[in-house]
Amino acid sequence: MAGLSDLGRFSEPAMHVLISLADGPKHGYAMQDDIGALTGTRPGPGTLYGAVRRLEEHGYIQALPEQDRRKPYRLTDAGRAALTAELRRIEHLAGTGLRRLAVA
Amino acid sequence: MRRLATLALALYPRRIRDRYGDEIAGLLRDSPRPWRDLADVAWCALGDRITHRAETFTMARARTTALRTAWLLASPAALTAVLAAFMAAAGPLLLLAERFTRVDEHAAHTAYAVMVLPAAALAALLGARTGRRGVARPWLAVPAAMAVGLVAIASVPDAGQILGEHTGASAAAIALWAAGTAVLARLGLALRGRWRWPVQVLGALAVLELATMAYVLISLDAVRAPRQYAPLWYPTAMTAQDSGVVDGAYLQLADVIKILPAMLTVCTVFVLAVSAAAAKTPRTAPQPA
Repeated sequence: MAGLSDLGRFSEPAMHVLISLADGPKHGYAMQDDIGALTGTRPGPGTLYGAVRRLEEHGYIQALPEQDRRKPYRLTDAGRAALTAELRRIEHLAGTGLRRLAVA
Repeated sequence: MRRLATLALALYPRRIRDRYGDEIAGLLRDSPRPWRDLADVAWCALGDRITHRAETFTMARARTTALRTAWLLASPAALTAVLAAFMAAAGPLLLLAERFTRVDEHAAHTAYAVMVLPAAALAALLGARTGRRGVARPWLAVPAAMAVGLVAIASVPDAGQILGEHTGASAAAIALWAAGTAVLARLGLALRGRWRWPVQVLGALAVLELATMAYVLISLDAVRAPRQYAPLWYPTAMTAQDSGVVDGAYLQLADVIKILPAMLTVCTVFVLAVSAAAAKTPRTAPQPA
């Protein structure tokens, strides 16, 4: 699995999208709101769909049939695995950093 | 704002715009910060266009593009050879005809001039075949490449005089022809229905007239080529029905301009055939749009 690191400058927005979809399918507008609440910055449509496109190409998310003229996306098993691996990596990195700072 | 959003979306490669354009447009429409989001879309679209172009420009595509460009550059030389071959074939036919009827100098020159017709027919077939294989922006690429090929032929010492004795005048006529033919081919893509071909034929004749005029005006002064005969220069050069439009002498115009008008005519047929065939052929390869 290539992981999120090969998504270049979209790796962080892609992780936000995956986290947003982790509790169920969402369409673009709901993802924007959710990521805005999560990170404090609402992603622009270009950034959001740049990440969505790359995640879809990697098979990490999947488009569902349109509902009310909006297309929801859901996390695939590969996306769930990639997100888990990425969050574990960050957890390990954060733990190491905090231990070295001796604040953990 | 809606118009700006449409422009920003137009920056995306076609494949991405077709897939996600409606969703992005929907977010832009409902955006609480439209200017920031518009800038975000434009920036990401430009980035996607650059990376998408790099991704789709594979070695196979580069090779295909190089081969097609080489063919377009070489096509004037190939068509010159075709025209020369048909003219050479007229000789034996005239000898055969002489056994049954009297063939004078005028009839012989007319027979040579008529050989542009089979050459043009072959150019139409070759052009259609080239167009079906796919050429990006054929209305511009084909006349431009052919103009380079024609100027290259005209620049060859001695042999290049086949496209006119005055190289500078030939180059100017070829440049004018390329510009006019490009406009004509582009117009052909925009026009639909029964007016398309009449407009293209009349337009082609006008372009060829202008190119021939440009050559004669640059290479010959008004004493040798009286300007009142200007509209007759192209038909005279093409048909060999010469009443003495240059130096008051029969075929003096053909002696100066050689087969340039005939070659430009054959090349015009080729350009329009490529453009028409390319417009009908669906583009199946991924396009950078």
